[in-house]
Amino acid sequence: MVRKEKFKKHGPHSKAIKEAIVGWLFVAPLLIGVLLFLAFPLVYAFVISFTDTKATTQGMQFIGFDNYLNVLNEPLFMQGMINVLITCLAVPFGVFIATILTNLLVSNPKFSIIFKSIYYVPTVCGAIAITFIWQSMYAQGYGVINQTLKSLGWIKEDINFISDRNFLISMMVMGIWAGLGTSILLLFASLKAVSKQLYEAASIDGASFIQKFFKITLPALSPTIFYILLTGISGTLQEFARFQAMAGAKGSPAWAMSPVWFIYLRTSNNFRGEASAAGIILGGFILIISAFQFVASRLWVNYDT
Amino acid sequence: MIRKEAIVHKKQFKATYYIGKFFAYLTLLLTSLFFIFPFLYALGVSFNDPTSASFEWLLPRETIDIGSYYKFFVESEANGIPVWRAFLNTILYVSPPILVGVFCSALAAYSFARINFKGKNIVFYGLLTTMVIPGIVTMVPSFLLFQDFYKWDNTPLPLIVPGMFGSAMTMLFLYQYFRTLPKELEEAAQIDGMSRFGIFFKIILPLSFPAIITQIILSFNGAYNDYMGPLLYVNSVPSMKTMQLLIVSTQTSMGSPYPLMMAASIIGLIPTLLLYIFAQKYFVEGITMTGIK
Repeated sequence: MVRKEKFKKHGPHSKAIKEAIVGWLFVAPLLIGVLLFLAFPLVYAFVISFTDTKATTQGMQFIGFDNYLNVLNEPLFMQGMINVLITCLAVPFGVFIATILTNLLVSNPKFSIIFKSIYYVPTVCGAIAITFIWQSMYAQGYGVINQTLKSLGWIKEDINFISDRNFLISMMVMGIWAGLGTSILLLFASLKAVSKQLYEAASIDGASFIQKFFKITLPALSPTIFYILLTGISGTLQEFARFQAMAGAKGSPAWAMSPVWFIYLRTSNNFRGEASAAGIILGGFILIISAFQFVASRLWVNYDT
Repeated sequence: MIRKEAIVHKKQFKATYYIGKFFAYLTLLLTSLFFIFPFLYALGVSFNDPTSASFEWLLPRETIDIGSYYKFFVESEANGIPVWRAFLNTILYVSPPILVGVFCSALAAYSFARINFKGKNIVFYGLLTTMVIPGIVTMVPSFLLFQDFYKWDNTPLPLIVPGMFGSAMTMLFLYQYFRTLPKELEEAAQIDGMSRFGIFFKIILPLSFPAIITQIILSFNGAYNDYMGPLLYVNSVPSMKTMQLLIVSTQTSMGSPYPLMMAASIIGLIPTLLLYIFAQKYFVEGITMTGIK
């Protein structure tokens, strides 16, 4: 009798239940956090985006899609979207440079660790500090870039790098400088994983350097390149700190606007409905772009190796 | 005859080999210079008289003026936020979410990696799906919820509390790591009657020390450099400001005093650069591990 009871208590069935309880308990903190601080705000985002919530609110008033229409008709928001989309052009360009440098590093392995560490330094630095540094390099008068161009005789008058059309190009140059380290690190790791025998076999078959690059290197790197493009574009579309710091505390000019900056402005002015709608529009846009990239990736990304 | 030809061929090959090497290393060296130069330039600019409109950047040079650093420290103190305080604030805001958060993420990751329970897959993939949502979507509603419901406006709590529950990204990273650990140790411990928490705490955590340190360092670096969060929640209270807010405040609508801005930037960069120098291995591991899925 006693034995039987003992068996019941510690039988395989009760053990499974105990395991399940422990399993859920371990997951609980993260799950609660995600529900409270992600899922709940996500639902709330849609609710306020459909309500008229300006400075003073007495209860919520549903106004349909008005906030969305207001945002889409807002020149500042649309200009911000155009600005970040143009800045996204720097992402593939950065990947291109990173691929060249990575190939150089892999074929010249001596000191490659030191070079990689140097390329990675800007990546760990805060957006505000690096933007300030670049702003001072772009500065008119004493900034090093204008100074150099003048002493070379290429320009007579200082160029205003931080205004209008030049602004986005300046942002792109800085963006490539700041992001190259991560790309090189990722590409280096995946290129190292490619078997040397593949290259040797290709050499024996008489393949040229260019052929090897396009037939072996690029397909092997394609999943990593895809990952860099995906995260890089999504990150660029959500830029804020760099744009604001570079524009230089001179208000919020349209030529330096970014969608997240617009959302920040609307939030601090208490246009909650519009701010929320703008966030959903930008988030939806990023998801669509990412989905499109995933579909397009089937044409060029190689997951075989 | 044949041998001679071979030698000539080898010599030519050697010459092109060294020329190739030379240009390869020249390119690598010049690009490294391009990466380092902005920092040296910033250092050069920071050593200028903060009251003068002009500045020099070349180092070494005759006049090294540390007035900008002095001004940065004095002005910050006068504005109610001494530099040491901003640094302390930053550490106080980022530590609880990182330490407790990584622990909670690890706990969940262990559960997903090793324990079987009903509904596990739904929860796991549900959590992974949340990673797809761009952060900007929940920024405004979170801000409003903290302000209206939790009444946390003008406190650093919105920066601290949510992170303490962990994050799906860290969980996934650790999940992948835990899956590579051998099961034998755990099985032996289970036979000895050790509880699941005991196994997690005494076997899994020590075994995954490198992965956890990697996560802590990467999260610290990200949180230290965060600008948007502190700007939204603590910018209106001077004594609550973080390092990033202090750096950004050196630039005003009056203009850009570059020596002062560079001094502030360099002070702000020191902790990050020190961390990078001493924990470089973990940065590299963390980045390459998150990239390859």
